[in-house]
Order: sequence, then structure tokens, then C-alpha cells
Amino acid sequence: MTPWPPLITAAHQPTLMRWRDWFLTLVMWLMMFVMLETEFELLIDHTGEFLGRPDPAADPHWEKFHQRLAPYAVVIGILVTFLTVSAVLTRLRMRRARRRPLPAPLDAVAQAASEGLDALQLQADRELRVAVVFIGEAGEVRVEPAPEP
Amino acid sequence: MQNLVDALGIALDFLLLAIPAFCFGYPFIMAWYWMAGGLLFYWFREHNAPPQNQPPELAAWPPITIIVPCYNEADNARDTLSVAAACDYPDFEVLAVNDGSKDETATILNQLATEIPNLRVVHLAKNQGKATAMNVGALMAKHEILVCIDGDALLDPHSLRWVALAFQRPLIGALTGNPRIRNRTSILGRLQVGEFSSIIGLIKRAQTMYGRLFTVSGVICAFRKRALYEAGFWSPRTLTDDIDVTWRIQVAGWRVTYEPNAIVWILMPETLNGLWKQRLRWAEGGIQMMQDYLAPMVRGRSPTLLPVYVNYLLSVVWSYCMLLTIGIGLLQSAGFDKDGILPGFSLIPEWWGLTLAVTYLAQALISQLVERRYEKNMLRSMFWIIWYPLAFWLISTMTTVVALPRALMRPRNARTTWVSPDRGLR
Repeated sequence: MTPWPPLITAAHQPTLMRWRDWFLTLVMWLMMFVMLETEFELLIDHTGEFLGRPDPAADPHWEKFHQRLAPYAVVIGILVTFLTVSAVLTRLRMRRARRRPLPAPLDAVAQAASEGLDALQLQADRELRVAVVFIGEAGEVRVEPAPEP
Repeated sequence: MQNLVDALGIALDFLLLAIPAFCFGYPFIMAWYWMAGGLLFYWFREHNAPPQNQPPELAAWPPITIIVPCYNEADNARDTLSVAAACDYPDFEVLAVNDGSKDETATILNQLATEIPNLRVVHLAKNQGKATAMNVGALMAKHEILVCIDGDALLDPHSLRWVALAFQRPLIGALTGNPRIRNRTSILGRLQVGEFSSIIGLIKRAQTMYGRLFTVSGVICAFRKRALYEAGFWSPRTLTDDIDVTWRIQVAGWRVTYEPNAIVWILMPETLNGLWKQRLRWAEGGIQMMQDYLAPMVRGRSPTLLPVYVNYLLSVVWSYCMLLTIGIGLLQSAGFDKDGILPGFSLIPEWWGLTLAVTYLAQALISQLVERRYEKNMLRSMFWIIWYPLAFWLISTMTTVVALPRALMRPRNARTTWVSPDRGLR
């Protein structure tokens, strides 16, 4: 039986390859942290003495953050409000629709007619365990039982 | 003449400000939008729901047909069909549609039909393409609810119950399930584990909250046959049949929803070449949808789909803006523009790029927390997600840039053929 969940992990990969992937990804994170040095100052300045890096004069640049991101924040606010209202409306619409009966299933007559087939024949074809379907140039469908092996 | 030169100068100045602002603003704003949508979905639909492996009871479970289109699936058919046929559900059949495979698929399917009682097999006499295989599957299916999975996907045993529960809502014509990556042997594989939750999962949650979806996942989706009939079933001329059928069902007046409990385990490309081909096809399919639905959108048909359409349009424009930014960044790195005439363009992610990267990491963290319901140890994939802003944004940008001219030059009524099984597995 298939083990569950059916994951295919790197367990069978060469150790060198696994270590390479880990190392490269770790380097990516380190690069990210280095580039984010300024932003980390925002956090570190408050606890700098504990970390051996007292720098109380560092500017947290909150003003810069605010100035640059304010226009985008306004658009985000509008869109999220729109989404929240839509979500409530969608939920209400779904709840109201629950009182309605379920749509009638598509009957074989309608489906057979759309393919130019006979409904009774289609129902019989649906009982075949193994069938072969031929599709003509104009899209016409013909179903036959599969030949015995 | 001078006025024209002045006007062009003003327009150029505006573009030089607007393009970098758009390159940053579009993904930044949408990331927060997806996060908000994901949290709303979690609040409305997930946080009080029973565990995925304990679906609620239903007085009468409707019968279901699982359609599995197969093309050259000799390596996977046995696993896929055995697992599908063993689902925990009272009344269902599995219908394998062999689309004129050239390998041993036909022999294997015939053999399985003698071993698995609820399996039926349909062979297409000639290879026709996935859409036609799906249409034949819908024609030959006995039941009203159709669950469609790929020929190499493994369906979770509880998924059918969640699908049946979702279709108890009369407006629902289709749903998209929750594909989870099986193969995690490389950085690309592990990265896609995170991508499927942080990007695809969050987008589907947010779009479900809005009420309209861009696409179902072809690898796990379900339909009411009546909705498919009204939408005209699958079109053989589309590159991505799942995007096309999603739009036609919604235009026909049905709702499409996301059901994260309907889980399927899938294989994804683990080589750059395989990934490139897959994403290029997705991008071409999206652009094909843009062409097909331009007229209905302009005419105001299904106005609620317009925001989804515009979002896709913006993502295509964004890709070209990013290409321009990268191009100018390369020129600057090569020593051109020493005077800094183009200050908004840069190859190295500075303040804006880093803010975007941190926002994406926040988005990934939120999605992994939400997705812990469906897979243990999801937070571990956060380690690999660091590649996403660099590698995947670049691939998405480039595939969209390449896909646009390809899609525009493609004959409108050309039939498509199978492109799987290029899983690019290592």
C-alpha cells in the first residue's frame, strides 16, 4: 500500500546534495538579514545593551516608513474594506440560497441529445466496464464495448 | 512642436516615477489583500470546522464519479486509481479515460478494471487532448457530481465527503480542491510546498471570500454536471482547460468555491526546465483567457468578474514593468546612467525591495499557520521560502513576458494537445 501522506522526500538523495541545498538556503537568509540591518536596528535599539550593542542615538526612521508607505496603505485599506464587505455579502447570499432546493441533476436525455446520441443507448454505455469511444471529424461520438483480450 | 516635446517630457517623467511605484505597489498591495482574504476565509470557514479527517455527517451522501484522464500514465496509473478507488465514501465510481496513450497505460487500465470493482475504463480510439478526454468522461459518468483529478495525483481518502458537503449549497457549480506537493527532494520541490499555500492557497481563499475565482486547480476540481452542461463543458482549444471552464461556469451564473479539505497529493516539476515549461503554459492559458473574455468584460457581462480580470491584467503589466526595471538595473550595473537619471530602477533590492521581501515572508508565515490544519510541520517549509522572492518572481515575470506574444500569435481555434507528464522529476 502507498504510505500516507505519500511524500517523496530527499532521504534518498546524496548527503552532499542535501547539505548543499541547506547551505545555499542558509546563505540566502544571512544575505537577507544583512540587507535588513537598518530594520533590525529598530528592534535591537530597544534591547541593544543586552546584546552588547548600545546605540541609543540610532534613528528608528519611523517617519520614513510612514511617508513612503502611506499611499499604499490607503489603497490597501480601501481594498480590504471592499473584500470584507464582499465576504459578508457572499456569505449572506450562500446562506439565503441554502433554503432553495438543490438543482435537478442533468438527465441522460439532455446530455445524449447534446452529443447526438440516444439516451437509452447512453445509459447502457455507462454500464460498460471497459469501453472504446470513437470521435469523428465532426465531433460525433460512438461508444463500443472493448474487445475481449 | 515645443508643446509636444514638453508633453512627452512630462509623460516620460511620470512614467519614470510610476513604473517603479507600480513595481513595488502591485505586489505589496496584493500581498496584504491576499493575507486579509486568507484570514477572513479562516475566520468564516476554517477555525471552527472539524478536522479534515473527520468530515461532518450528511443524511444522504450523493453519488460521485471520479474522472481520471490518463495519457502515458503507465508509471502512475496503478497508484492513482487504487488510491482513488479506496476513498472513504459510500457511493462512488472511478472512471479512467485513456486518451490514446502510446505506452502501456491501456493494458494496465484493463488489468485494473478486473481488479477494482468500482473502476470503469474508457479508451479513446485516437489521442484527442485533455479537454476532449474530460468531455468524454463527463458523458460516460453515471453521476451528477464529478470530481476530476490528474493521472498522477493521489486523492485523500476523506476528500469526497468534503466535496459532497460543498455541493449541498445550491449555487455552487464547481469547486477547487487543495493540491499538496508530494515530491520534496530539491529546493524547487520544497519551495513549491510553500508557494502552494502562501500564494495559491491564499489567493483562492481571498477570491472565495470575494465570491469569484480566477481558476480551479485542474489537478483537483469538482463540478455539478448541470453547471458544466450550461457552460458548454471543456473547450478543446484552450491551453489551460481549468481556467477556461472556471470562467465559463461563472459567466453561466454559477458560483465556484475553494474547499481546502478536498486534498490531493500531486507531483510538481523539480527541474528548472520542467518548471519553466509548466509556468509558461499557465501564463499562456491566463493570457488566452484575457483575450477570450475581453469582449464580455467590456460589454459588462458578469461585472463581478471584472476585478478578477483586472487583477490578472495588472499582473501581466507588472511583469513587463519588472522586465524594464531589471533591464535598466543591468545597464546601471554595467556603468551606464552614472548620473542617476533613473533613480527608481535598481537591480539590488534596496529599501523597497526589502520591504516587499519582508511582506512576502509575512504572507508566507500567515499562510503556513492557516495551512497547519492540512499538513503537519508546515512551518518547516518557511526555511525554504526565502528563495521565493528571488527565484519565483523572476520565473513568473519571465514566463509572462514570453507567454504574451506566444498567446497572441497562436491561432485562435487551434486544438491543444497533452503537455504532461513533464514533471521534471530528478
